[in-house]
Amino acid sequence: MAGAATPLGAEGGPARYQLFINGKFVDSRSGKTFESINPHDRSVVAVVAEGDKADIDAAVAAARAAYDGPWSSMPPGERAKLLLKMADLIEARAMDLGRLDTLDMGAPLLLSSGMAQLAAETFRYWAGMATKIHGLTMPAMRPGEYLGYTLREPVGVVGGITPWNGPLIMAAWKTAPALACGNTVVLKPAEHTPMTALELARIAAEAGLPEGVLNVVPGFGPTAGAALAQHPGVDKIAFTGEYVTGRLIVQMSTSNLKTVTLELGGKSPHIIFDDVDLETAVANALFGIYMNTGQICSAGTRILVQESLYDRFVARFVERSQQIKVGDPTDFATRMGPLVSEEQLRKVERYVEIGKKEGARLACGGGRPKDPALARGFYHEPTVFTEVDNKMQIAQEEIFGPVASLIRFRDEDDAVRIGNDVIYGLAAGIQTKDLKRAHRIAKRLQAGTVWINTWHMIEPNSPFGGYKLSGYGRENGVAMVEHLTRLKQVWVDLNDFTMDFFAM
Amino acid sequence: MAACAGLTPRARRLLDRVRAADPAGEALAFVVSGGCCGGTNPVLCRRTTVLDGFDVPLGEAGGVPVFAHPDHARYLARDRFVIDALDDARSDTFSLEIPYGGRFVLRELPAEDA
Repeated sequence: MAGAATPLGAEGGPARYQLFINGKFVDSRSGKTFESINPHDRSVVAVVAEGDKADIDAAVAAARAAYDGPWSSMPPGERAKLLLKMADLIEARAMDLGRLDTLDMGAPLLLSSGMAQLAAETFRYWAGMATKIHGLTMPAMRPGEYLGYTLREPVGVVGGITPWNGPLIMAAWKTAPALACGNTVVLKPAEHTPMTALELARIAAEAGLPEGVLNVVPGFGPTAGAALAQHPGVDKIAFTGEYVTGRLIVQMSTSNLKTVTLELGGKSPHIIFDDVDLETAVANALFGIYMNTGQICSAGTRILVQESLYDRFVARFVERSQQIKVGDPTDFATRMGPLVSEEQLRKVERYVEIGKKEGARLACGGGRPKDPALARGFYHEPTVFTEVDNKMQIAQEEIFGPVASLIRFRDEDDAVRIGNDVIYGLAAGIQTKDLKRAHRIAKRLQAGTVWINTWHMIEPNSPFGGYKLSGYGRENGVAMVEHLTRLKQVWVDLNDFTMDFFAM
Repeated sequence: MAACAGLTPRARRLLDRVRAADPAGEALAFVVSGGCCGGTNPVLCRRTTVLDGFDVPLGEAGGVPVFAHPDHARYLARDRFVIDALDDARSDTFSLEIPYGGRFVLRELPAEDA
C-alpha cells in the first residue's frame, strides 16, 4: 500500500499521517499539515495532512465512482464478509488503537481499549445487518389486480463528521452502518483526534474494501467539514457535535437537499430515589458523570437526589469523587485522564467560576490537580457542586467536563419536572427499587435513552439520539437503516385486461 | 447592559487575521453555541447564517454582532463575558477562525467589571 501512516514512535518522533482517498494514503493537495497534541503533556503525537475543499472533492469523486462501480453490485453477503474482516482486525489491534486514542485525547487506556472492542462489535453487528435489509410487499387495495412492493436502496455517498470524545467508536458508528447499507463513505474526523480514523482506513484496505468505498479526510471544520456538508455529490451527512455547527450543516445541506442526522449534546438528569442502596447509587452516579473526564454527551451531569437521601448521598459522593485516581491515561490504573484541550480546560474553569457566582456550593475539586507530574496537561479535578438550583447556568448548559451538579427533589412529579426542564433531551436515568415507578418515569422523561439502575449502556443494536436540541435521527440499531437507505415503491399490473382511461 | 462586553486584544488579533484573508469583507457574526464537544463557545459565522428575528442579540465584539439561540440566551443574557482567544488551539466546530491558528472562547468578566 502506498505511503501508509508511520507507526507512532517508529522514528522516535511524532507519527505522520496522510489522507486516505481512493484506497491510497496521499498528502493533501495544499501540502499543509497540522499537529495533534497529547493532552497529558502537550507533546506532538502526530503530524497529519490537512485536507480542505480540494481533497474533499477528490474523496467524494472516489466515493461516487466506487458506489457506481463495484460496491453497489457487490452481493450483500460479500459486503458482510469484508465488514467481519474489519471487525477482526480492529479486535486484534484493540490495545494499539486504544493507545492511539489515549495519546490523542486523554481517555484512560482501560476505557479507550474497551471502546476499540466495542468498535469491533459495531462492525460485527452491521456485517450481520448487510444481509437483512429488504423492502416490504403491500397488499393492494384491489387484491389480485396489482402487486406493490418496496425496494430499500442505499442513499449513495454518506459524509460523516465525528467529534473527538470517542474517536474510534465514533468513526465506527459513522462508517460501519453506512457501508453495511451499501453506501460509500467520506469521513472527516475531528481535528484533535485523527489517528484512529486513519488506522481504520488502513484496516479497510487490509480487509480488501474496494478503492474509494471508505475515504478519510482530516481537516478543519470551516474548510473540510463545510466542503463535505455542502457538497452536491454527498447524499447524507451524519454529524456529532455542538448546536451551531449542527445548524450550519443543515443550512449547507440545502445545496442538494441531502438528508442530515444530528447528535448535539445533552444535560442528562440522573434521578436517584431514597429507596436505593447508597453504595450502588453512588457508584452508578460516579460512572455516569466522570467517565471520559465527563466528556460524553450522554453523561449524567445533573444528579437529582430525593431530599430525604440528599445529605447522605452528597457526603458519600464527594468522598468517592475525591478518591478517583486522576493521572497519566496510559497507566492502566488511571480512571480519569486530562481534558482533551486547553479550550475544554478553560471552559470547565469558566463554569466553576459561574457556579460559585450563582451561589452553588463547591463541595470538592474546582481546580487543577496539585500533582506536579500533571502540570503540563489539561487536567481538572473531579468537581462537585451541591445545593444546585436547576435554573442555574451550571445546571442548564453542557460543561463537558468532570463537574457534577447535585440537585434536590421532593417526589416523582418534581423529579420529572426538573429532569425535563432543560433544552436538551439526549439521555436520562432513574435509580430506584420500585419497578413500577421506574417504568412510569421512563415514559415521562423527554430523552432518547433512559437508563434504569445503570448508565452508559450503549450497544450497536440500540438506537441512540436525542429529543429537543439534542438533535434528530438515531444511530445504531435497525432504526438507523431508515437514515441510510431510501425506499422505492414498485407497482405491477396483474390484470389481463387493458385499463384504457381514454377509450372513447 | 449587553452580556458580551467585547473582545480581548488576543481575540482582536485573531479576528484581524480572519478578516485579512477576506478582502471582500463579508459580514460576520458570533453565535454562541451549546452542547457536546465544542459547545458554549462562540462560533464565528457568516452574518447571513444568523436567524434574524429568532437568534437573540447579546452585544458586539470588535464590530461583530454576537447572538445565541433564545434558549441559550436566557442564561447568557444575565452573564457578563468577553470573547477571548486561545493561540494554537483547535476545535471541532465550523468556526471560521480555526484555519488561522486560534480559537475564540468565552471568558467571564471578573465580578468588579461585571
